[in-house]
Amino acid sequence: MVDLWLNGFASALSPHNLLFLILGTVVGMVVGALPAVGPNFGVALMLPMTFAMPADTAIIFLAAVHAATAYGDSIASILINVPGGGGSIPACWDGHPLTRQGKGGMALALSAIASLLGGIAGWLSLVFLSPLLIAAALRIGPPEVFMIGVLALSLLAVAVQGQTVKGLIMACLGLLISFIGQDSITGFYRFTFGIGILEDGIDIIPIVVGVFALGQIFGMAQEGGTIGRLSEVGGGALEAFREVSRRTMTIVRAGLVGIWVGVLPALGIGSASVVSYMMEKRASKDPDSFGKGNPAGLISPEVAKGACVVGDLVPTFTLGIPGSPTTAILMAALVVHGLRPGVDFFKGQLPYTVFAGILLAQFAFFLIGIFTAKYWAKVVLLPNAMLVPLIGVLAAVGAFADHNRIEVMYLVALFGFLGYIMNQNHYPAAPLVLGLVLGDLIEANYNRSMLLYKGSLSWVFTRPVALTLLIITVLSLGWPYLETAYRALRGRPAETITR
Amino acid sequence: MNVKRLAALVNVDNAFLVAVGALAASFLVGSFRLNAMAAAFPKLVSAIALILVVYVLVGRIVAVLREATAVPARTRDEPAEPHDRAQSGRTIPWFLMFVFTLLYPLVVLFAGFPSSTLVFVTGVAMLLGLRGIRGLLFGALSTAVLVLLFQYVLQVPLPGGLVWEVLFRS
Repeated sequence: MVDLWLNGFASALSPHNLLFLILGTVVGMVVGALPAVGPNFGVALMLPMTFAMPADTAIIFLAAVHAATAYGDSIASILINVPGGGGSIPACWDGHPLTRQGKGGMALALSAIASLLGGIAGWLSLVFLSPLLIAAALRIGPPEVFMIGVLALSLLAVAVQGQTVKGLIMACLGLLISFIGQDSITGFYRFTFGIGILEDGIDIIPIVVGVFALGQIFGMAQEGGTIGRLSEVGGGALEAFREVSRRTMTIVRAGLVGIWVGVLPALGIGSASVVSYMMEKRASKDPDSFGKGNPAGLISPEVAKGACVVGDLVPTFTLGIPGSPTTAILMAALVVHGLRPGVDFFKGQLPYTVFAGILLAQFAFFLIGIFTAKYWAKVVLLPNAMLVPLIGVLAAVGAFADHNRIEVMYLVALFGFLGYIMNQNHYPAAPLVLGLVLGDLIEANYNRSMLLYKGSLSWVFTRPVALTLLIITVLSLGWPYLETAYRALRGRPAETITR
Repeated sequence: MNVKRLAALVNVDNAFLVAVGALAASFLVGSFRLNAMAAAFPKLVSAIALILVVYVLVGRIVAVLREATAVPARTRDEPAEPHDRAQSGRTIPWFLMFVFTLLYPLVVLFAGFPSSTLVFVTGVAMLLGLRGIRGLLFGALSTAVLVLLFQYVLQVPLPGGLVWEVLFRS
């Protein structure tokens, strides 16, 4: 066993593999730093370039792209408040306020350190805990998966204090949009309203890009000026190390959330980072500081995201069930290179080389991120006169690149309009996106549960895990109201819940 | 008097809610024409969405009619973040920017990616205050970098435009 590991690391560190590991990291950082293009875009784009590579090199290269893009995504979230994908949405919440306070450099270093720690935690789960975690995941049936999806949506809806109802409406809107097109179980076309292009459904990329990127630039164009001042881009790696070292429990909590969400099929980095952020906020002695530049609000989702990026690979490599959309693309890479996920994958030297490469990929993006953080931070010095047209074009072409259809650019513009309206009226966008992402999963598992129980809803109450998840969901949704009632009883000023 | 008060409810926030409610209602109605399994979950979600929208709207109407102390959401929103922009510069109204983003793909379709991007980037940059040669240089350099990045590095086949197709490929 030790020999296999030593050979694995030796092979991963061979000049050829190391070259592609670094190349994948650099490509991932570039794609990640571009606003509105995330890991799916990066890994899908690089997949055709691996055809001529040996299998281990190809997987190491794509794993490096995946990890670096997931980390790089947070750069745009932190600096210009435009997330590259669902996983880096929470990085906006406390990362961008840190930038506004002149601590952009520190926020980037926090993100790099937290992502590395998360990546190591995920890697340890991949290597040591995967048999146990998979056994647990295998016990979960459709009712539990459905309830987990509903819980993730509910947690997101209550993420913005006082906006629970608006968050729920947005989650419902996301689910409704996800219904458009062909139903994955029955094959029926639904809610296309006679418009042919809707038969394929509405893809998530134009929605994410539109709501987050264009919605943002409409506001930036209206404000003019620059995102920050030169003197505001401060802080650095040392300060970040100090902040991280003070938050051991935050790292442990977030790592566990990232691993768990990663191992559960289909729930990707978007769910991991948001759930972790919410847990951290709940656990904090100073929850009001969240959203205003609390370092824990950045460390927690970044650790969870890093852990989830690697944790996602557990069901992908062992069961052939993608842990996320990006790992589905990675699974396609395995098949392209003649590898079958499952027991066969774990035979011989290959898994040890791949696992060693995945660990090295975490250190690669960390080192590049730490040493170049100050340079990335310079982005905030660009005037809006430069950022607005550049983000506008990147958003449109990024969405176009995924489909090679110009109509997608119109969708981006329309969702940009929607995003601006939502932003101005305090409608949280994240539940909409998560509803869209989880729509298929939640509906399929709802239907499967109903089929299993012959049309009865008894599965909600007869399965202990599903019932527990339901109780947690109800409590999390009712919490803002209970808190208000409790404060009123104690004679403290009540926080009204916005309608 | 009540009419005057109710007129205060005519705002973008409520219009947005009404639009979401209308969408949910159309999904609910549409789901009755579907196979039972394909309709089950959409029915549930659209009904919940509709209930939530009606709850919020009715709550706001009742609050206005009762002259409740809680003011409508539009005016009770948290105060805007302190303005920490380094410079004010020139601005573009958001709806004009929206029109530009709608026009951009249309121009791409006819004139192709490089020329339409040059016009879009230079035009928006100039309107936002990057005047003269700086604006032109920025537009030209950005377009060149974007074309290089997408067309040659990321291998995205950028549209050449109908004009190019007709003039040079026919």
